[in-house]
Amino acid sequence: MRVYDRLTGYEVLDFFGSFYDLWGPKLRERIAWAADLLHIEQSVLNKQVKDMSTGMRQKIVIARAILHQPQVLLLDEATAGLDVFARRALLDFVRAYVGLGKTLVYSTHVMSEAQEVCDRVGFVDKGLLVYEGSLQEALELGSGNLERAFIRRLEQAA
Amino acid sequence: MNEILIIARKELLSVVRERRVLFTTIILPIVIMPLLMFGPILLFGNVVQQTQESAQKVGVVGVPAVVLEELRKARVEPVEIANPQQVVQNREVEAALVFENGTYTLYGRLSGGATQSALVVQKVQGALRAYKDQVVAERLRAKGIGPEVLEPFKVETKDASREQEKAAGLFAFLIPYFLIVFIQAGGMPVAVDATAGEKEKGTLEALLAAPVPLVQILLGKGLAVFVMSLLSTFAAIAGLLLGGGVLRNFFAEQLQAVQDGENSVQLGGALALDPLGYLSIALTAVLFALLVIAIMISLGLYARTFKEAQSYMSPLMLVMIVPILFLQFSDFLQLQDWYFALPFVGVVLALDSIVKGAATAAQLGTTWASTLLYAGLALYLAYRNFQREDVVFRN
Repeated sequence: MRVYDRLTGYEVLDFFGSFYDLWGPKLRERIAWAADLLHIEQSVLNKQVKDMSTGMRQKIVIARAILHQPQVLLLDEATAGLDVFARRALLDFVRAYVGLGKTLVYSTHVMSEAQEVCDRVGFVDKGLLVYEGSLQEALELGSGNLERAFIRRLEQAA
Repeated sequence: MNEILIIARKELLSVVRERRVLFTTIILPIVIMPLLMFGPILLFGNVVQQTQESAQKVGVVGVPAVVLEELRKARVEPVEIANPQQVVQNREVEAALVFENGTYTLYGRLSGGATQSALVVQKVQGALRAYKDQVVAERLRAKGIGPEVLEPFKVETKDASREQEKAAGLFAFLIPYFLIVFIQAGGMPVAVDATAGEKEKGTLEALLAAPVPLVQILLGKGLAVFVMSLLSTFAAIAGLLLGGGVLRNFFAEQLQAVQDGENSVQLGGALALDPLGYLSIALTAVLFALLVIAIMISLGLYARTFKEAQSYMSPLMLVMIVPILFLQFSDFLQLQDWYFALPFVGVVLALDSIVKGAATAAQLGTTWASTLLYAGLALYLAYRNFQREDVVFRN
């Protein structure tokens, strides 16, 4: 959750948004859109980052990344260190963002999360992609369990 | 250009929110510097005044009654003692006077700078001088000769310094010192925070991933450091002027006491420059700030952590102060124009010459051109550092 801790959430988004030709009303509108998508309240946006919880910081980091509405977004261990509510909000965001027609690459060690949010699954072992397929195909490989599928695939590869 | 301003604004906002940094760069110079500069002098002034007005004990051995009377007139209290060296050392008396075989020997604690004992010794010397003049005058009179025979001619000494130099007083030395120290001290916290600080906190990656040219990020950070450097410098000079004004208006008596002493100190002072002189100081300071900032950013980008950056930048202060120490002896040197092209030294010499009203166009031109060149080189080095992944991600 590395973000300028002496700026407020809004200032962080304003700062990074300015680099993507977003100005004035357009920038404010985009910040409101990202805040809404991530369920960030106005009171949180007005807080300095150093006074925020880990979950709130994570939301600000993600809001910063989606301000310019990238077609592809990569999240790496995005729920690490988050409490139950923050984790739930983040997983909801993943589905919502994909629902906007965007691609989201979700890297995680938590198979249940992958099972919940992914349409396609890839297994990486020692830096190599050892499996890629739809969620349905991966579940079939693991008899309905993604973790079992991962272990079986690695055993097959060995 | 816009991106540069956005980045500078972000850096300044971060600094403004850090009360510690704001205090040390802006508040401290205004409040503390006058106290540091004038406090000891003021205290010394008080001591001098008190010593002159009150009577101190002076040990005497074999001193004639007529001299004892002169000592009392000079506001000292003679007391009979046995061992002059010991009583002075033990601070039982401030000074001791021994008369033996036609010689007066005066004891005092004279090592270690300005001591109260030294001031009392001056009082005793004054009393002895008065007595000596009296004796000589009496002997001459006895032989029918007037005392004016001892003074066949008068000697007058006049200060031929330029008006600016006379008016500048302590400022002649302090202005270069303050500009140099505060340009670095004011900019350092921002320079460290904006470079090594961002690396250490891990926020630099996000900034580098934003669609902003590296050179604009660099210039934005540089602009923030520049603003803080100048603010800190203005604060220090404002503090100094404030302190000088308070001293002259409210502590005139103590000031007079110090300035009337044998080793008088010209306190405070005021810049008596024409607008071109002030502009020259400002331009020299700005160019110097560019050079220092470029060096600090270059070092900060190379450093892995906040602490490492500070340990690289602190010696820079020593490097810059050395020319100021030599400045005290600049009058003994035959200044050549090329001295003004030397890094740091040139700036110090130029500032000193401007304040004293002695700067020539060639000297200033040399300093400005060379400082701009050095600043450009340092900025290019910082840019090269910023381009190198092995430097930026040197964790």
